[in-house]
Formats: sequence, structure tokens, C-alpha cells
Amino acid sequence: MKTTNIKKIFFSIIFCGLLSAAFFFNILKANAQEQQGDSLSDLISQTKDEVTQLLNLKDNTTLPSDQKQQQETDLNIKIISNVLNISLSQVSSTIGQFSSTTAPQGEDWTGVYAYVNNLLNNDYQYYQTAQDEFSASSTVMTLDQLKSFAKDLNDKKTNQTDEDLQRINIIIAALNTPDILSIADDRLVKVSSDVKKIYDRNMTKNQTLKDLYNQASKYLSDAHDYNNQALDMILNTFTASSTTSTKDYVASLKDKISKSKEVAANALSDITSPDSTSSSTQNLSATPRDIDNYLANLVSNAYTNIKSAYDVFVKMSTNINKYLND
Amino acid sequence: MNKKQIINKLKVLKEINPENDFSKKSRLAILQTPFVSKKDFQGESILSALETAPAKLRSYSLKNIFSSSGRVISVAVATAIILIGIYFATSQLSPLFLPGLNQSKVVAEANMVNNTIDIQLSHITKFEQTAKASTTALKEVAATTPSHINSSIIQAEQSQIDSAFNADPQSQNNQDINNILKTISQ
Repeated sequence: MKTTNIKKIFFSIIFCGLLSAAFFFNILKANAQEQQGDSLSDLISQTKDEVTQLLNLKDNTTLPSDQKQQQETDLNIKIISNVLNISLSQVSSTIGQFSSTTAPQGEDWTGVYAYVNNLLNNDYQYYQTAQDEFSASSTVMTLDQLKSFAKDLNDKKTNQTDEDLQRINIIIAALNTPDILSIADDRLVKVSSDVKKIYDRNMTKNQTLKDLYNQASKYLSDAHDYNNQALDMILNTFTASSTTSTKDYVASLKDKISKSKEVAANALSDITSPDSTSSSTQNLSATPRDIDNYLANLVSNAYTNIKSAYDVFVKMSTNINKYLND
Repeated sequence: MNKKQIINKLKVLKEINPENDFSKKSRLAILQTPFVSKKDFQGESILSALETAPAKLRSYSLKNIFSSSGRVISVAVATAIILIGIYFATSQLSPLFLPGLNQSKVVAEANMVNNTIDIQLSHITKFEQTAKASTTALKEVAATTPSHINSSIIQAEQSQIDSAFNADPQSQNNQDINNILKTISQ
């Protein structure tokens, strides 16, 4: 009997301990995310200050040469180290955002997740390795070696990792759109019910409410259309499992983008130099950045239409009494 | 002990009385005992079981428990019927019941949706700004151009001079004086 009671007390303590640990873990997690954002902003601000100091130092004509060189070396080490920390923090933040996205399920989407995870892993590995190497050798690097390291880092960053992360940010925004659309759809159903009731019972002869409802409905229909196009594009373009179908899709997309670039280039050419006959010297083929921008436009159009639909809903709800009294 | 001795002992015992304090306490205890009617003795077996239960449990009879929960259920059912009736009457019959166009709800929902969208877009914008700041920093570190004609330095100096010139109250005073002189000379 005594042993049973001791067991009960022991398990109660363990259970309470686990609950408390889970509670504190959640608090710590929320605080950590908030602090991560703050510390990143602080680090960016600190780096900007150090760049200003570096420029002033380079412009300085009073300091002795050796002293100037030492200070420049120290500032370069600080700036490169900060940029590596900022970049690692950006990759980690994107990993966190992607993992908390309510992405579509299904076999088709496994290729997309593999593609995104692969980019994130590669970018994280690159910065982690660069940071380790820099920490180990920065103190013995010459000013020229530091400049060379900064140049290589900047090339890799601007030509690859920034593009990868920005593409994933746009993909995340597209994958989060259906949740927002679902709220807007529910509102449209409720508004539809009210509008039907108003006109069925002849509560007003003013057609404005009906027109506004149709307008909101069109905005949401367009938002769905843009979102479906965005999801379709992600599924076919940003996937690790390439098939004939996805290759055809990408080829057709590139062709479409290329044609629209040609139209834009011709229009610009007509304005700037009307006598010019062709724009053949320009590269009008679709680049990876053009493809990313195309997806960003689809997401942006979906969002703009959802916002417009809500502008209409607010207008209807604010002026409902006015419409009913007309 | 003979007969006479026994009688004497009994006479002594007859004189024994309870103390006044004990008598009062006993009387009060008897008067405070609740009256139990004949009717309540019908379930003798239940009562005898209850007598063995703890004091608090004894204050409830099974009958009371069943009757009170029955009352609660009846009240709950009646409330639910009334509420459904009110909802039906207001939604179907009242012309002014338009839940889909409720202004405060629609405005709150619009704010929530707009905020969610802005947060999504801010991730993209913030990333761009941070990446740009990092790139600028790395470019300045990697720069091999002569230090004194650095465009960032010259632009910063230029804006410093512009702001100093625009903020100088003396220049504004000079302008005012010129205007006055111009007016007088006309």
C-alpha cells in the first residue's frame, strides 16, 4: 500500500514537471523568436554603423598608414562576421517559416518539398562552412585576403543564396494564400445569404448592394484563379522530381515570359528611339529571376484581389442602412 | 447484605441527579434533532445504508439528487428551445438581422486578413532590405577603388551640406532681407 502511494506521488511529480517544462518551453520559444528578430535588427544596424566608420576611416588623411590599415582590418573582420551571422539567421528564419506553412499534401507535392529543403540545406551548409572557416582564419588574414573573402561571399550571396531564399519566401506566401482565401470565401457566403434575403423580401430597390456583391465575388474568383496558377507553377517548376510534363510546363512558361519581355522591350524602344528597327541585341530569354518575378506577380495579384474584396465587404457593411433606406 | 441494607442503598441511589449543565446540553441536543416524518422511513434499507456513510453524504437523499438533476435538465432543454426559437425568429423573420454584413465583424475580419497579407509581404520586403544592406557592406569591404572618391562618402557629404544649408536660419533671413530690399527698391 505504501509502495503504491509512493509510485503515485512519483508519477504525479513527473507529470507536473513535464507540463511545467512544456509551458516554459513554449514561453521560451516565443521569446526566442521575438529576440531573434530584435537581435537581427540590432546586428543590421550595427553593421551599417561599421560600414560608415569604414568609409570615414578610408577617407581619413590624418591617421598614420599602419594604424589606418590595422583599423581597416579590424572593421573588415567585424563586418564580414556580422554579414555571415545575418545570412545564417535569414536562412534559419526561412526554414522556420517553411516548416510552419500549411502546405498542400499529396504525392505531387513531395517533389516541391524536396526541392525547397534541398535549397535551404545547401544555403545553410554554405554559410555554416564559411563562418567556421572565417572564425578559424580571420585573425591571420591580410587586408587583401579579407577583401577577396568579402568579394567571394558577396558573389555567392547575390548570385545564389539570396535568389534561393527570396524564391522560397514567395513560395511560402503562395502556400499560405489558400488559408486566407478560405476566410474570404466564408465571408462571401454569409454576405451572399444577406443580399439574397434583402432582395427576396424587397427590402430595397437600390441595386448597389447586388452590384457590390458581384464585384466582391469577381475579386475573389480572380484571387482563386491567380492562386491556382501560382500553385500550379510551383508544382511544375520548383520540384525535385522533373517529368516530361513539368519540362513542357517550364518550356511553355519561359516562352510566355520571353514573349512578354519582347513586347515590353518593343514598347520601350518605340518610346525612347522610334527610328530603331529592332531590339535583337537584348537577351529576351526568361532568366530564373524572371520566373521568380512571374510567381511573385501571381501571388501579389491574388493578395490584391483579396484585399479589394474586403474593401467592398467593408463598404457594403458600413453603408447597409443607407442602401436599405433608398 | 440483608433486605434492609439493600433498601437503604436504593434510597441513596434515588438521590442521584444529573448536573445542571449536562441537563441543559442534553435538552438542546434533543431539540436540535430534525423531525423525521413517517413517509421518509419508507426506504429503510437506503436510510440505514446512508447512516453508515460520511456525514456530508447523509445530508443528500437519492431522491433529492434525482429530482434536482431532473430540474436542471428541464431548465437546460427549455433554455435551448427558447434560444433556438429566438435565433430562428431573428434570422428568418427579422428583416434587420444580417449577420454577413455586420459592420464590426466585417471590419475586424478585414483588418485581420489585411494584417496577415501584410505580414506575408513584409517577410519578402524585409528579406530584400536585409540582403541589400549585407551586399552593400560586403561591397564596401571588397572595394579596391581609391578611398577619397568613394561614391557613398561623396553622396553622404553632399546630403550633409544640403541639409546644413536648408536648415541654416541665416540663409532664410538673408532671403527675407533680399525680398524686403527688392520691394523697397521698386
